[in-house]
Amino acid sequence: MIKTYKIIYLAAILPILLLYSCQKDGVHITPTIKAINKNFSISGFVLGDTLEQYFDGVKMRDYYGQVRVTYNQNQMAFVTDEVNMELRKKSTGETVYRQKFSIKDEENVVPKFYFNGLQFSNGYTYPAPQGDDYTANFYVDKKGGAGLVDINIEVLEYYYDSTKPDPIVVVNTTVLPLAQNVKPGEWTPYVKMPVPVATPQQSGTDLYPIVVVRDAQTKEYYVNKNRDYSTINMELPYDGVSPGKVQSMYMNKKPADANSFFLEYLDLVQLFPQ
Amino acid sequence: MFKFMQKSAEPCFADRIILTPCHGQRISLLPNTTKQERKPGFNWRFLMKCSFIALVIQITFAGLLLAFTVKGQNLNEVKVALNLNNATVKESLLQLQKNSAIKFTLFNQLLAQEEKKVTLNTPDISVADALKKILAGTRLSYKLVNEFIVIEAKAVPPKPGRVLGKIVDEKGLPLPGASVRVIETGSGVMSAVDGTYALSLPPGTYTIEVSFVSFQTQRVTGVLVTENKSTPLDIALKTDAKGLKEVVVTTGYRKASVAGLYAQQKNTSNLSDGISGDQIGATPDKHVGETLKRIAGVSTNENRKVVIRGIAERYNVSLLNGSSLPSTDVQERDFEFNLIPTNLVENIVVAKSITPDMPYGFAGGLVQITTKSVPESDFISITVGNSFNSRTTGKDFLGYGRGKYDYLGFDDGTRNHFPSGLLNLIGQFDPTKTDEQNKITAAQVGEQNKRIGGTERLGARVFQSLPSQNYQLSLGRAYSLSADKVRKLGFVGSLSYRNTQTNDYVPNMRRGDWSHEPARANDPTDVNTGNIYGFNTTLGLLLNGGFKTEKHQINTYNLYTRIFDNRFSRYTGWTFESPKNDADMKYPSIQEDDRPKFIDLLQNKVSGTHRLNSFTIEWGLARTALNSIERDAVSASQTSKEISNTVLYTYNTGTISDPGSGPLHRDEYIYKEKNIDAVFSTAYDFKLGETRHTFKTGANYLKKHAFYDWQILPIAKGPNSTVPIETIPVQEWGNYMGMEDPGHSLFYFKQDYTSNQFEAKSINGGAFIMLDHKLLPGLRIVWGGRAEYFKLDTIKNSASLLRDKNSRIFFAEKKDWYFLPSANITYSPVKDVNVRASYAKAAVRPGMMENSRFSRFNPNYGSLVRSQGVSSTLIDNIDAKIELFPGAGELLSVAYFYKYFDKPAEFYRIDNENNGRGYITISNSDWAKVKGWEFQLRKSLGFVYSGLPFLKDVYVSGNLTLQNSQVRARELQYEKTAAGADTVYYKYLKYPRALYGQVPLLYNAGIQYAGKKLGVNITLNHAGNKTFITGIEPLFVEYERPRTQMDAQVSYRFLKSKMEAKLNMSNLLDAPFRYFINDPTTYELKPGNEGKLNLEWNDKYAYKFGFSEKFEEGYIDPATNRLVGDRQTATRYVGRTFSLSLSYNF
Repeated sequence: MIKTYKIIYLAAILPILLLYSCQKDGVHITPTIKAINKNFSISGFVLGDTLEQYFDGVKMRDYYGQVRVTYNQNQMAFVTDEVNMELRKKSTGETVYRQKFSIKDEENVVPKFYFNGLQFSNGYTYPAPQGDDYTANFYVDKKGGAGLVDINIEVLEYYYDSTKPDPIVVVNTTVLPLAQNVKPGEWTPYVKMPVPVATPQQSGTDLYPIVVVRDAQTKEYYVNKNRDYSTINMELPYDGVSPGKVQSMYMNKKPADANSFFLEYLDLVQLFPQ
Repeated sequence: MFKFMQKSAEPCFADRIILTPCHGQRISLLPNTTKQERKPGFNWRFLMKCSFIALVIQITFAGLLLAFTVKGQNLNEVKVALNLNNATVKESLLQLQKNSAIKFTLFNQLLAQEEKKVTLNTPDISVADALKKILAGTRLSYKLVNEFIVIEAKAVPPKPGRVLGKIVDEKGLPLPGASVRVIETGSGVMSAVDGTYALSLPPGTYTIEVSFVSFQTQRVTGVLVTENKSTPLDIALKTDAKGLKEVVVTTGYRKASVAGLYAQQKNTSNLSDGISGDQIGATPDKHVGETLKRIAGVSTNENRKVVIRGIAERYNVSLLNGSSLPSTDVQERDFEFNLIPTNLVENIVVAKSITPDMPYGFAGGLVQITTKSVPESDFISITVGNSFNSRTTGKDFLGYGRGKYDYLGFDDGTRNHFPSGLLNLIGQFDPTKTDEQNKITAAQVGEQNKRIGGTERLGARVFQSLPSQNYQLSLGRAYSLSADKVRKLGFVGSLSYRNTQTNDYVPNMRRGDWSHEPARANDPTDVNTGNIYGFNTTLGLLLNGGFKTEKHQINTYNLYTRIFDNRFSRYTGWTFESPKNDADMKYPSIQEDDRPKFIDLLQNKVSGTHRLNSFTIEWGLARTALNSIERDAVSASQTSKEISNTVLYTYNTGTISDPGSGPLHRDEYIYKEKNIDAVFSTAYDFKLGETRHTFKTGANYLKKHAFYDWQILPIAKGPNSTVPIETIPVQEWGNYMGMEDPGHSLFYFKQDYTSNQFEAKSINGGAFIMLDHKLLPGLRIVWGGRAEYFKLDTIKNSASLLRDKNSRIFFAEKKDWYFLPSANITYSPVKDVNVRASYAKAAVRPGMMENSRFSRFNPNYGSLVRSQGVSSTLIDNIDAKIELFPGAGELLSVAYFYKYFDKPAEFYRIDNENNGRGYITISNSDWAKVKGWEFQLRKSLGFVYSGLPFLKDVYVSGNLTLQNSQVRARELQYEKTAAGADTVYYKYLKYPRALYGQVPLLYNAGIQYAGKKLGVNITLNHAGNKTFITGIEPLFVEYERPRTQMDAQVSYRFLKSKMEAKLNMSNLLDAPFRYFINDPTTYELKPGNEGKLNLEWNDKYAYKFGFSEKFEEGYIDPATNRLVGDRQTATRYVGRTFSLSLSYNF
């Protein structure tokens, strides 16, 4: 009897297990995409805190500094008819902006925005130019260090010698301070930019004005203690020629490799034209 | 007397009820019980109560009842009338007791088991006759006790027990025809041709006498035979050297049994180690590949390929029931042992030295797998088991579409996409051209696409992984055709099923075509990872039979194994050519490989042994067929594209300008091999004075015929195609293959540059002469030689890559015949000690496809595997071993071995194309020398403290192999002669290196307790640095890092040992398989070598301080932010496995 029961039991349980086990169709791991819209765009500027971009609850990327579409990021895939985007403040997780995109829309555009680490706004605001004056404010990012910096116009008096490894030989430098003891993480007030004027000390030399950042304490060049690395491109006034101009310079010292840095800078006025 | 009385017409519900005649209208219950009328619909409580009451009555008064003097009512005189029509036994007895007025005692359980129907209509029949008629043919009898008729079960005679064993001489050689007699009964049998015997005896204690011509008769006293059990008794007879024919040696059972075991342990003329079915049963191993590493000097490559004494799989020969096995890997000479489930195996013996009668040459070892043999007694056993893997069960299990019958091991047709007669589109179809411009029209291609079928099966999907399950039914029957002679017939059959799902996790893959290092050392996300999902269904059917007499034995072995093995590899990462960057390679690509393989292995063998006076004839004839079909093997890659809201992964298609198989192709690989194997030998035993000798001669023949066919179907699209493959799931691509608009369709771009076929035949024949001398007491010399012939004919040899189409395989086989001498000496200077020495020359032949021009990408190597042509390897083997047998089942041994390989074949990674990745190929080196030591121990702990008897059942065991090898490598050089002709020559490297597959350190350690019911077994297996792939310089040599695996098993027998439960735990340490390469950052140019070319690595470079050939993790160089250390090429975790199995033996 025991034998019979055992065999019947086993004979019954085997096919049950087998049948239970049979799973022919799994669930595809690649979702089916209904459509790809190639007219997505997002632009803006973020500083002070990182913004995290989420789509349908899945984080895609961080935004810090300039926000723009690169490579294939102009494309948006629709698995369902709608895609929800959120921008969240990284430090708190707070959603500062959200937008829905529909599969029916021809274009999926995020309005240009500016986030200063606290507030999300539709754009960066700045004053209109006054007469022929050149004014500028500066923002040095804390990510490059907390030490104070000086921002100057330096007029280089130089000559060119192609036989030397560095063919530009500077013989004299005239310093025109723009902003002193700039505290990283804060915008400076707008300052008027002087016309870079200097008197050559030698014959056969030329003058070349640059805007350069230095460590306020040591007076060393800010990036890699190197002039060229610490220079930012700004438009400088020329007496009687230039119309007035406003510039808002954002600067961020970033690591290039293990031992060196580079200076990322951007004029927010150009990014947010009025 | 108390009675439990019940209305006679009522059915009985108690275990035991004393019935009164019908006039007992009242129910009188036992004292202290409540008077109760029986109500309709008794519930179970009442049933239990009745049972309990009846039990109390039974226990209390049964003795009393039986003690009463029988007061002889003469049942013959009491006449009754009966009117029974198709009545049950119980109903009949009830009527009889009613009509006879005699009290009956019935056991309800006994009555319930009887299914007999009684028809008896008579007006006048004695009670005795009535009882006889009613109880006839039942398992019941009656007896008269006092005034009761007690119906009881018939007395069952005790089942006989058996004494089983083998009669051997002092050397352990079987003695057929020996007389085995039971003194007490006078009965006896003769031993069979293999020395075995079996006696069937009633339970008791006996004295067994064994006698044989020219041996001292031996009596063994105290042989205990228990009911339905087998008592093992192997007896070793001593030679009657002094002619003391009248002397009978009397010894006790235990002593005789131990001596018999000793004799067999010491028997073999060669060096061998093995593992028995019992020992295998004490491990958690599922297939032979897992078991082999437990044998001394044996390790395995990923549990599939066997490495013996640190010598790789291609130098080891596998025999199944004495016949050679085909190679299961088309590109290597190798048999994958995972094909054979352990539950079909009787034992595995690995011979490490060669005698001339061994039909096939080897260098590492000869793996002899013997499947279950004919049993000595009948048995049926059922095993049911489940297992759980910590990295698999309950986790996501990825793969392509499955078939309905995958769990049964068969294809349901959904993988059949390879119809015959497909059109070759090379140069005949271009989707950018019109039909007029093409030889094959778009409609024809569309029709072909339709015949091939859709892509529904493609695309990775998630399944739920399930616990592994296994079932086995085994049946053994033994028949004795004669009462006094050995005429035994028997068979054993086994049917087994196993489904196993595995998920190997690869956290690091930096081999071959994958990126070899992160783009930035401090980027933890820049890593290539993957999983290998294994779905395996194995069906095993075994049917072995045999017939034996005193002088003849014929066996047949039949094994069929059906395996569906689907390995789905899915790797994610960055390639060597396109490493990670934050711009367009921010996200990894995906490489998928789905390889569903259906394997049929069928072996049919007949073998015989015949002993005619002093002649012993042995023969065997076997046919082994292997069919391996990889059907709808898919290789696919996906590239990533970061878009705004997701990372888009798209399966890539091929292009019409790509001469290869492209990034997505569906393949079919059919490999068939048939082996016909015949062996024949004759041995003649003779005496010269007091010495005994055997002359043996024989021949063997092995014919192999291999056939390989492959079809590759790349999926391609035209250069201007607008098929939106990004949005069409790959499983729907088949809907876009109609070719109505050829420029904008997908299609199967079948492009055959060759016939895609390989066919070869080989013949391996040999003849040997061997002399076996038993000269002095304890000295045995076996020597001789064999002449061996080998011929390999490659009939078809297509290149599978376009670039190999015009290349030639360089294959230098010197000659067909070799003479291979060998000699083995065994000397026992004192009792229980063997000293062995041996020399043998062996030839290892190339595998059938080792000279093929077939190449294929191996996803786990991350590389192509190709062949450069291989010739035979000649090996000189020298072995020495000392064995000590301190007790039954105990062993202590030390062995030394030295081997010289002439033209060893090895797996190289070479980089002829100088692309930094290379490929893997097999090729001969110049020579190799391998030497090593082997130690083995198995000892009972009974000696530790006699006050703890269980220690006798505790064994510690271990084996240790230390090995060192040196290879002189060579490089093929190409040169033009002055006359402008192409020539090749070898450049020999002066610095030796380790042999491919070498494991310098290998050990197993274990402790086992084998009690009557409880068994516990813990084993540890350790393999040191293994040379996994060799190469000309460290950059290409890949090693496997040391690995230690710990397994444990707890078993318990219950239900009178009929049922056994086993809890197996394997890989308890979750030890990964880890591989590495000595990275160029760990070595530097020797001073003064700057700019020098053509220097050997050892001349040019030296390891930096703190680095060596072994694995060193290294450090991150702060200056470069890069790792200075060995490259970890691959790591694979297989997880811990816990399995529970239940076996029931009927």
